[in-house]
Amino acid sequence: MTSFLQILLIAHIIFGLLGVIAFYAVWMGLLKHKPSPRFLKFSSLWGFIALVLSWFTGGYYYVAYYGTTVKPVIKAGGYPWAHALFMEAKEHVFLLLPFLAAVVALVIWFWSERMETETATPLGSGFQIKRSLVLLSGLITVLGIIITLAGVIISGAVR
Amino acid sequence: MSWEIFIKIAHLVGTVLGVGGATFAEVFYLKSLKSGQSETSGDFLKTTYRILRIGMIILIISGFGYLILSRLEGHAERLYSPRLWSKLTVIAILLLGVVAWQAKKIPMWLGSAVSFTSWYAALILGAWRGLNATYLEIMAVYFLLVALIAVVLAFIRKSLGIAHPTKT
Repeated sequence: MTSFLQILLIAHIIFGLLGVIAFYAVWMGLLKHKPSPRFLKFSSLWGFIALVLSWFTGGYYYVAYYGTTVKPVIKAGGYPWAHALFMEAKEHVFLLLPFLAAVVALVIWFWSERMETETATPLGSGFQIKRSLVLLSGLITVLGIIITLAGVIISGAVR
Repeated sequence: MSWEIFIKIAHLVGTVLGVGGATFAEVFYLKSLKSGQSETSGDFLKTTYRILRIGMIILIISGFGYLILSRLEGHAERLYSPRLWSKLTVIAILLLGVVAWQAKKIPMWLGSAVSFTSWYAALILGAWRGLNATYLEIMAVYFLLVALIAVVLAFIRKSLGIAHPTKT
């Protein structure tokens, strides 16, 4: 593997982790009694940028190296299901994450300043929006953790 | 300094901050309950939680640094170690446990026991090279320890005369 491809693989993993950590922070922040709009804006924007960067670096690595060099090794090795099951699932779920992240970041960016007043009571107009944001940021985090672990399984099968 | 040494130092720093933070979080939590403050209002407790979060981020990034090194140096078999997968599972339980606690879905005593046990379990699993146990055996011991620590912490609270909180 060339140094450039190694850097891409490392960047894919580190940006992916930072994206998941950022959305975990968003999830936790939204669950607070009084969420901080500034913190939520910063975390969701950074999370979105990190996931997009992980998307492009991982995508380039996949097209330029994984598909032609790593995949045949895994399929011929003792753990072919690491590609057939985990990589196939990972690449499809991973396509979705930056779009989910963009939705959360955009809603937080344009709405979070009004969150406190609109979620003051359970019947407040923003209550459902906040609830949806909690669910979406939780979904991004849980999916992110699952595909991160899938990445470990796939890397472990390269032998 | 090689990448391996750098990652090892970062991993140790993350573990120290996390395990130390989890220990002092429990101490400050008990102190704040005893002094009649709300469970998370104490300044020391807030600072400790911040340190815990920083420790967790350093631990996760450096932990994956180890995994990247193993992959790039041709030691992929290390990525299927039961010890590693137990550690990853414990950290995932810890992260989701904190969310459940924040969302008030689990009582404080359980969140506290999960956090305390998970940090120490991660430390022990990281340090115990050559541990000869399966994933299921390690996880069974972990869940038993969570229950045991919950009982011990409840006993400590009772002996200190602190009301046992059922929910945050």
